[in-house]
Amino acid sequence: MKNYNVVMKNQDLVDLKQLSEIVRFSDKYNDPLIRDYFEETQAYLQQVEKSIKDNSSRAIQGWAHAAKGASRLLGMTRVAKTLEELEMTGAQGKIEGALELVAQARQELLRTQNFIKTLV
Amino acid sequence: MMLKILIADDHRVVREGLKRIIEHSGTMTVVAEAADGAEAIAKTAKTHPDVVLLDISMPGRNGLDVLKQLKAKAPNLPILILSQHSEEEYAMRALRAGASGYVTKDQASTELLAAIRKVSTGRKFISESQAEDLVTSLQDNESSTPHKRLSDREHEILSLFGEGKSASQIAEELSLSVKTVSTYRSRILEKMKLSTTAELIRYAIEKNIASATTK
Repeated sequence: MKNYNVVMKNQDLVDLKQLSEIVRFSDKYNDPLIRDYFEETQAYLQQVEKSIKDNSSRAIQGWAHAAKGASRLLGMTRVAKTLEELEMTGAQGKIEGALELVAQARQELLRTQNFIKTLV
Repeated sequence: MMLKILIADDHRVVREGLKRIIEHSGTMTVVAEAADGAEAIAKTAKTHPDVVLLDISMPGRNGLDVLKQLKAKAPNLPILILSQHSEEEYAMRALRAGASGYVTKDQASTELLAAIRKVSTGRKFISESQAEDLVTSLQDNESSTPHKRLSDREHEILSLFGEGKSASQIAEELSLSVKTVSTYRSRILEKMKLSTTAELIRYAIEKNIASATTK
């Protein structure tokens, strides 16, 4: 019941059906693909941060777009949505608001990570 | 017989995720993976896949160019474009350039597998929601979307202007002369009934035309 409640509370974070089509066993967090995803997405967010410092909206757009692809494929819906907002910010040639979106994406990534750890 | 698939995407996590979906099917196998356009072309020639899954926005070379090169070498090879929602404009152009269909990265695995099976028989694939987008796009008033009148090359140059690049930077990136880029710019302005490069850049940004080019 505890696990059911955790899933219900966090269902907006992850599309579990989609994730389960790729990671079939229950201990999803220890799948190398999932670990790689979290590492890679953190690395992309660092690149976005660097692009903000460099004042390059074009690079913000590119890195956010790159991170969004894997997030969508794996069903990491909440993170993907924020990355899309970040991408659109860059596409519009804007820098303002980007740093806040990076912080939001990091928080959501952490929440997603913690949630996936409970799926054993 | 197992269907042989080649996956071309610059992100290892995406390739691995797609590979799992494909291999879980039990009727398909991934014979090669490529991280950029040049690798996709070389590995296609080497492994002779039945279907190529091609990301439209890989680095190093425009996805449409890769598609055209693959089709020039193997006209009957089914190529399924991997796209994201914000790249619909590019997906439409890919279909015109000979792609057999396109799938988005958040599409359900059953739909991806159905798409691969369908295009492997020489047919085209388009999902219900994409068909709707296609109809909307066809019904779009040309005056509100004049960039649809542009050729693929003109569209590419428009997107590069939209990214804030100068004519000389674009010339260098596309291995063209500055004069040729200026000729393209004049033609784009004429087709879109715009007067200045600043208007052109504003248009590209407003319509998000720079969204699916290389990183």
